[in-house]
Amino acid sequence: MSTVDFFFAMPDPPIPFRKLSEPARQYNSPMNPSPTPTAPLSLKREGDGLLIEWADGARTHTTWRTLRTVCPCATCDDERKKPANPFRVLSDREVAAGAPAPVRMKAVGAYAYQIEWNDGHSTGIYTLDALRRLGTVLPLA
Amino acid sequence: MPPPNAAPPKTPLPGVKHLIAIASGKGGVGKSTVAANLALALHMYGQRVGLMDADIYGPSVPMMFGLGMIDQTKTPFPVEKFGLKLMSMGFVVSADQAVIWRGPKVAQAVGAMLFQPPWGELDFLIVDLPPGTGDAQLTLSQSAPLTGAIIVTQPAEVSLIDARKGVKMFEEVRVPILGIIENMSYLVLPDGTRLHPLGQGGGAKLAAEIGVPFLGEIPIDAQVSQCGDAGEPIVRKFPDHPISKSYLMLAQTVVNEMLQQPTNAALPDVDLG
Repeated sequence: MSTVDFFFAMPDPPIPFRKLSEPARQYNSPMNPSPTPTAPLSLKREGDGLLIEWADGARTHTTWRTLRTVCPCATCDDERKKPANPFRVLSDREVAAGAPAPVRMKAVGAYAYQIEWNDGHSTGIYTLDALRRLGTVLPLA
Repeated sequence: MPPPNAAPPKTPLPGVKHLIAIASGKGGVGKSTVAANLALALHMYGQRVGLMDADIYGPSVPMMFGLGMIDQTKTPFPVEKFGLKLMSMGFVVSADQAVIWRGPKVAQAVGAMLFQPPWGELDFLIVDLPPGTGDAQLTLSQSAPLTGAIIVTQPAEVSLIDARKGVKMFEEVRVPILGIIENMSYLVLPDGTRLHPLGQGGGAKLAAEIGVPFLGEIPIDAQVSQCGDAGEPIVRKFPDHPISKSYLMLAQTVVNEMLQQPTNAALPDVDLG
């Protein structure tokens, strides 16, 4: 039998592609033991921080100062690991900024938000999981 | 509840109903072959389909569709072939030229190929991702409304190790895993015996492990790669081939599933007052 004939000698089709019998699974799996994360319904500035209403009914509030302090970007993460430097000179923009406040906050894909701060910093990407963890859960409205 | 009169958040690629990534942490498992054949199979079901080759370093789409470098002044992007709209790094870089770029440029190129071509109205835009969990995957996950990802693996444990990494990455960025496809599952001998030179059962095992559908097995068949090398994927060249029929069934599954799912909802905008 020639090579071509060999490969033409196919049996019945391979195991048929199965109907997707359940909804495409989101993100709860044995590899991810944390509870199924929830999604935000709305995010807005309230007082000195960020108020988030979540799909599971929870409401959380996180101050802007907290969010700025724990900026997850690689640079800030690196800086936090170093001993405090009392001789670091603040930039004019940092001095003028005053209390941390967002200038802009935009979604990143389906999993995070990126905050542009009034001190010029803008590389931090805050995952939804992090925003939920950092927030203080408010009493039900 | 979101404010009742709030405008829906803007989504990039507004004309694309479903953006599906074909991925694997592992290289060489057949992502491009699966992506090309699935895209064609979807088209054969009457869907309007685009295929974007996000592998900057090793683009495969041009060869698989019998194309090479494209002069945009004569043929605008995306390139139309076999009823699909195609975009690839291989259209702008010669096949014998190496792309030696660091990450930021890769991310920029992936973004440009995704958002700059006028894709128009598409039911599906299939994205053939490179191996790994790096810049191309992040760029896609951060900036595009991915409907979901299909993970391609071989049966061997060495493939599963990296496929799991790919799954983990999509879980981190909250992109649904639509299912697992096991490629190069077995070889059928003339007497009907099946050989499993690359192991057995890995795809089903991974699917069960992470709790997603196992979409099926694709056997080893020289015609698949021959058709790819010749510039006409097997689904189009030999639509009655058993492997082609499997791809058509997969396409039907994907279409049926997407009909039940809303188009991907973006995260809400932030009201900063």
